[in-house]
Amino acid sequence: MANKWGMAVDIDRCTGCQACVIACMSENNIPINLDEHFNNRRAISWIRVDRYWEGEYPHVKARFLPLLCQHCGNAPCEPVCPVYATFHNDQGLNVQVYNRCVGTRYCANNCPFHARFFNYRRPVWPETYNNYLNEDVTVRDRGVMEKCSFCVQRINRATREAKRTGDEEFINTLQPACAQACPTDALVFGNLNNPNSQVSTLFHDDREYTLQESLGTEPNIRYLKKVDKEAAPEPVHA
Amino acid sequence: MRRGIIIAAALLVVLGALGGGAVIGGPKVLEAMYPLPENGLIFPHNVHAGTEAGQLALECEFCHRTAEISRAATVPSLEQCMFCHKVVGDASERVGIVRAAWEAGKPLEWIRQHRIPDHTQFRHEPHLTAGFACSECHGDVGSVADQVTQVRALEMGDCVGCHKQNSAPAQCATCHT
Repeated sequence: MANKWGMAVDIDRCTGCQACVIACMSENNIPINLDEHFNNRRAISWIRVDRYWEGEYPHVKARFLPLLCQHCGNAPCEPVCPVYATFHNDQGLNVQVYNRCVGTRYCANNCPFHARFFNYRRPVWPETYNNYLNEDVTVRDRGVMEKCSFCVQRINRATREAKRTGDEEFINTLQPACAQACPTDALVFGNLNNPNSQVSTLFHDDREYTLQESLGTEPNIRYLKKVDKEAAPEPVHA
Repeated sequence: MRRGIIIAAALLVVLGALGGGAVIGGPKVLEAMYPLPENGLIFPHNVHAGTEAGQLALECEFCHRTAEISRAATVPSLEQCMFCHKVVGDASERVGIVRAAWEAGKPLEWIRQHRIPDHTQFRHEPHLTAGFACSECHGDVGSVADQVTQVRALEMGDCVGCHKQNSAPAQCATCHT
């Protein structure tokens, strides 16, 4: 059976350290964001940690929500693309094809998670940084939409290595950059079609929920609720 | 007047020789994109990889070492040339150039002949793992005495056609990541 990739994000474990953000940026050749780009809301960050404040001073709590492309099974971004630059592949990934993208930005407009980013500028790195770029990932030019790819280059590599050496362990231990960098294992990546994988177990956890469930986008990313012993009990709906 | 004609004729001969030498066996575009190396050193693939008498019949991987395990096939380092040419090929003028570069401590400047379109990820390793011979894409390099030229289109139609014939993955994300 083909692999179907998914991720479980444990909010309870997330400390908001931003290691995933940095790891993603260096893995995927994401351009450097300056103040002006943040101020224009044109910063590119395939994964970000949203911060929410809860309660009133002095009893304030910070809540962190790592947010990346949800790789929706029923993705709102896909049908609006006039050139099929974004589509679903057989492994459950929502793939963006930079060559095809003509930059209409319809997909970003339709994305309920704000997970898609448009290159309003040509990416520039300091001269010495050019040698640090990941050769497996295309550098996107101006006018192209981009988003989290679930590190498809790593998936491709693991598939190739598994085929070459006959060792399935390459696929079983596969991790995208963010999950690899996470110090508290809040991000767990894996194959949903493998019932023994950790991510399959977490998908049936009691705390499991999906973002914007009412929209019915069927994301391949599930979140695990924060465990807060001090919080008031949730109202019970009849 | 007569002198002018002689100069023009000489120019024509020179231009013809230059053009003729560079264009043989390849599309004209390549000539413009990939000029001859400055030191005039053209690697005689037939001497090294040819299978006829007096030719060495080396495996491609003897010099292009990482093709089977990596993305790039890589051109050999000068050290690797000198591995043999410290003792082999005294009579050859080309080997003289190689040795001069070695003594001067300067690398050889190879000129890239094969290029795939932009935003495309190509790796040698999976293709060799699948059992394809180098000549499938590169042609019979072992018989080329002159500059190697690109014999296949190496464009998307070419790649996808071959991928579909061999039931290899042909989705966008296979090459465009």
